[in-house]
Amino acid sequence: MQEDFIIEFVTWSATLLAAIPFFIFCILFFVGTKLSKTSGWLAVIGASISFLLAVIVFFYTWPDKVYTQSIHWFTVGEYTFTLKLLLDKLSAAMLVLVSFISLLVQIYSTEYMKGDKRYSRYFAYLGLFTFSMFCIVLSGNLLLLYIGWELVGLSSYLLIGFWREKTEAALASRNAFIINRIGDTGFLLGIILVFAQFNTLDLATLTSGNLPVDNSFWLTVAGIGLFCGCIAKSAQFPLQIWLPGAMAGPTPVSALIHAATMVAAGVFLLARVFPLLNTDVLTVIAITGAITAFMGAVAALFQTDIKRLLAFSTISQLGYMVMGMGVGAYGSALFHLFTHAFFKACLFLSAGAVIHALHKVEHQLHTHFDAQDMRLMGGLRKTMPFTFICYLVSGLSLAGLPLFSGFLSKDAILTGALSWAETKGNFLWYLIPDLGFISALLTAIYVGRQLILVFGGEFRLPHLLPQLATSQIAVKDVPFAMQLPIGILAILSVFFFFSLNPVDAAYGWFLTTISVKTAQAADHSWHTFTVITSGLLAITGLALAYVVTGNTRIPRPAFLKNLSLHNWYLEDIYRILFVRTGQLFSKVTNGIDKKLLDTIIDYASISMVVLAHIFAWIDRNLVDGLVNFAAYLAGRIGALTRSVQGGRVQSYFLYTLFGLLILVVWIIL
Amino acid sequence: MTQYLLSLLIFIPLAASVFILFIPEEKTTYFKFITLSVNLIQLLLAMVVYLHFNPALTGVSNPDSFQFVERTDWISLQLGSLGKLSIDYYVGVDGLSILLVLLSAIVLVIGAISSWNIQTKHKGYFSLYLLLSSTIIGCFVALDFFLFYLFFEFMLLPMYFLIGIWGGIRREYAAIKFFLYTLVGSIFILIVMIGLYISVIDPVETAIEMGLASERSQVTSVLVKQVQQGLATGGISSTNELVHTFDVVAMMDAANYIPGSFLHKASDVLLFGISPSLVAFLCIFIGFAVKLPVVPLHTWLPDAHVEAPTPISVLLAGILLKIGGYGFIRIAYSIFPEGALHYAWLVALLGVISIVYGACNALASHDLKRMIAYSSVSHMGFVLLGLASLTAEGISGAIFQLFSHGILSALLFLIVGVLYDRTHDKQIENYRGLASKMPVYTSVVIIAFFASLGLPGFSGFIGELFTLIGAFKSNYIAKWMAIIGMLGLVLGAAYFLWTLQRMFFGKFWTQGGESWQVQLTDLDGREKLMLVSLAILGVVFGIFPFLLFEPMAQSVGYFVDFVQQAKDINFDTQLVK
Repeated sequence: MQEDFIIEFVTWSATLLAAIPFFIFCILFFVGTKLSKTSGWLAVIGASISFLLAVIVFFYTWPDKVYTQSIHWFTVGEYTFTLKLLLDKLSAAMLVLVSFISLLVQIYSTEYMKGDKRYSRYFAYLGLFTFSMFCIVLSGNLLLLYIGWELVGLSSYLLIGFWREKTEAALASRNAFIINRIGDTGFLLGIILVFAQFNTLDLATLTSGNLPVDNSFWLTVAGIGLFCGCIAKSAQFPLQIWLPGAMAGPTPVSALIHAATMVAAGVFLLARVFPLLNTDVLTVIAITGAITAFMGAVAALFQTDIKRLLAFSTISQLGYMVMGMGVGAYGSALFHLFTHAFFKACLFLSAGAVIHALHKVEHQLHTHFDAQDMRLMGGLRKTMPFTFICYLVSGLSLAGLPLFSGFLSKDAILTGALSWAETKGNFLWYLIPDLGFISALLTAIYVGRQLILVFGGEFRLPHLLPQLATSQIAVKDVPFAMQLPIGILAILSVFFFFSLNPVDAAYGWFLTTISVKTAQAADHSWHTFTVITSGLLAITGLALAYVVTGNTRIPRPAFLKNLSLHNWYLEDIYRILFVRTGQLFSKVTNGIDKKLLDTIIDYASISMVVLAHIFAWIDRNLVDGLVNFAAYLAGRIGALTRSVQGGRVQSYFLYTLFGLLILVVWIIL
Repeated sequence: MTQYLLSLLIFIPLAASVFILFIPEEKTTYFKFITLSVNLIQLLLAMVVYLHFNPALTGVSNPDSFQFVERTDWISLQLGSLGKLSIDYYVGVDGLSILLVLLSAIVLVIGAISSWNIQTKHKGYFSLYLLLSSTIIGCFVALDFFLFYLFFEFMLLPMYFLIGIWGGIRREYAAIKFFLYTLVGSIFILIVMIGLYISVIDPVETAIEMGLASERSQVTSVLVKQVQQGLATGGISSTNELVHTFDVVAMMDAANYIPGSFLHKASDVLLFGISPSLVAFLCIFIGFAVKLPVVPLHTWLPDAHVEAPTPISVLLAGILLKIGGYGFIRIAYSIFPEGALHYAWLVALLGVISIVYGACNALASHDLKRMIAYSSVSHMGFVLLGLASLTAEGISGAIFQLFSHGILSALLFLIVGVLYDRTHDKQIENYRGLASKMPVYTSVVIIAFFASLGLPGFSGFIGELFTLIGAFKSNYIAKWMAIIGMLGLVLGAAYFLWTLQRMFFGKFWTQGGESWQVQLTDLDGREKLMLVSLAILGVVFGIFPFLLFEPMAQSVGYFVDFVQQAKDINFDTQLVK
């Protein structure tokens, strides 16, 4: 009895916490303009309730309870599709993460978006996003997951293009959606193939481990298909190009969607369908992840835009998570998802604080400069001390310095990758963890460079705008509503939240529970090696950044710089390879339609008309001629006979006599 | 009480169409209100049909399980040794047609509201519109091939005038093109219809003719079997007693074919080297392929749409294309299932080509309406793919897609109409940043575009999903075809979002400058009513797909089994013989 009540309570709470943001979306979408300022607070209140419910649900679920609830949706053929809720440790933890960061970002946004024309619409879209994200997290079958998946794509589209008068925002949102659609189509292909193979979409059944998952061709295709969803959403190679563009959206959106939650959904998906992925697919995943981690880190090295740099860093870190999944370090990958969510959200929100502060200056000076260009910043540690400290903490966590959370999780992934490479036999497989280590060094370098450029040295903006130096206007730290979220996230970027041991999280509360036994357990013979190596790499990287940044005497290879700034020229390559060919192809089909098909039709109808004219001529001249001739003939004959019947009795008599004469002659003869 | 519903659905608008002719031309509001109220009555009646529909009954090839059936002798001629000709007024619905009746009624109401700003020759317009309202429904409920054909042709006629008189600049060209295309298509159908008429008897009427019973109700299934056996064994001596029929349901039963006749299933005559029934399947296929339309028989569609007035575009995309899909299901697939199996690959291939080709053309279009017309071609490709799969998922998906596209394409064409009404220009390049000038309109456009590109939560997604599931599960379609078909999803997103970005986002700018800026006002009440109600329907059927799946489920299951039975006919052995 008691048990039943708890099940009901937990599942209903989970449903309610997902429904709240949707209601807020509906309210704000339809009557938001009338609410103006209050819409922000309404959204915050809704997000707080969702968060509280998520915490409750979490404590009932963690560490090993599983709740499901399903209702019949519709039936096609023999299979009944359900709306199914699946609550286990993974979804419970994700619920807390999503609702927590969503809450913080909404608090932050009330200040950041103040004065925007479409203030309430912004919160409406955030509500839609949160709802869709909950939908992904809670769904108990692949169809429902896909629905949430596409809906986050929509909300991401709406939020990237939120300032829709800006051409680059419109372009970026379009590109983001289309590229995501490519991945989603692959994902759908995977879902359909899984459905065709196993005749079910239910996640619990699919991942029970009872299904025959072998290396058969279509199962590999299905696995790759499912991974395609992750490739696009988690910005993996070769589809990572949309994420830097997505920075055209408001910065809190970048923090929530394009750093902490949505882009991590790909990793969540891999975790959900993990038992369905055969070894071939996992190998592909590991390689893709390693390549992405490296490419992202290289691209981040020379960026000048504060947000763009963070975007490439996100790509790189997502690469780590995906690599972790691929090498079977399932728990570590999820662990990195969580630590990354906190420190990267903190970095983005702090970057937003910097941008916000500079925008204020821009506004007060009635001038225009690029508030996101790090070359104009510098020395902000003095004017924005709070932001600086938070940025420093989360940045060091990203750089993977010991004592910070990022170190723990990255370490766990790299350890997993090393032991995976060991089992593979061939030494070439060590390239995967090696790429991870190289990226770790690069990460430390770009983090150090960014910290120095933004907060170190002297403020460089007055060089560009001399009036700034003379006026009373100064850069000020941000208000409390923005400081609060940043502060909380910074605290969560330190090691002790996840593990009391600052160098090994394997026995921390999170990693012990989230790891699955089927995945390879991290081999501890590699662990010490990883701790030392990655710690050294992080320190070396930071030191290197300190030496190089601002020092013009050290040459920077132009080739590397261009490669980094242009993100490996991927966009240009795709433009030539796909966009041009696509346009050409569509021109060709258009040509076929206009030139070929329509010409055939036109000529067919012209020849019909010509034929009709020929027939008409025949009709007029031959058929009508014949008819006319017949009529003429009849007329002549008529005239002839008429002339016979003149009406004179005497001549009749004469004719009769004549006739009689002939008759007589004929009889006689 | 529900006995004459289908007849009322057909004849109320027909009567109104005649009635309107007696009202003086200057009473324009009368025309509008009469038309609208007649269409509303139609919608009401269609709702009653939908609500009273029993989803447990199958229909398809089983004459006893059709619903709302009305059947009376219409034309009967004793042709001596040629047998007796029988044409019935025979209407009824089953799970395959009920939804399309409902869809037609919905779209007709929207079309009537959209006809509000027709400027010239009101009497003719509304009379033809009502005639169309009658024949469209007639087409979906007719179960007699002759009756169907009559309605089918009488749909063409008003359509021709509606495009040719009330259309855009090149309206005459478009109208003629539309007319010729469809006419050529109909000829193919006509040929097969006559062939079928010669080959098929109505066992019930034949029993009556033979004196075994005196009226339809007395003819039991045992008697029918008896007649069919007599037919097969040559037991019926006199050909005078054979009643040739146009009954579509009778045509689905192989036992009703006269032995040795042209289209008899075991006929060993070959036409162009293949069995006549396969030729007949292809003929019917071509006939309806023009209507759907299937690439390469589609080029009338963009022109007809571009030139047609908004409400007529709405009807054209919303209902008339669906008759192509319905024709495949009701006639081509049901009467010639062996053709459906034999040519499944061809149907699927044409479907895939339509999806990709239509999408590419949409991408290259500069005219908004042309873009949407091509998107229809692409979306109808999914219908073909689902049909070809011959699985319950695929067929359900295809019918769902027909319905969903009916709603969404109506919405899309109304959207173009909004712009065209204001500036008489629908070039995509001539607008930029409309979002800042027309925010409500932009919201509706975003909803419509995302619904059409198959975003979950809207009906388009369900239709495309199930046609694809069907294609992947099918034994008749290669998986690569289905995979190429999925390309349509990506291309769909590309052309819709590209258009959205070009026309609606960025800084406001128009080709027409100042004057357009004044003309471009946001939606008025009438437009909101139409657009919002269609958008709501798109969402409702996307979230509650069982509203459509439930009524069709039994019929579709039966239909799939029925078509699969024709597997037993093996053409290869037949060719050897």
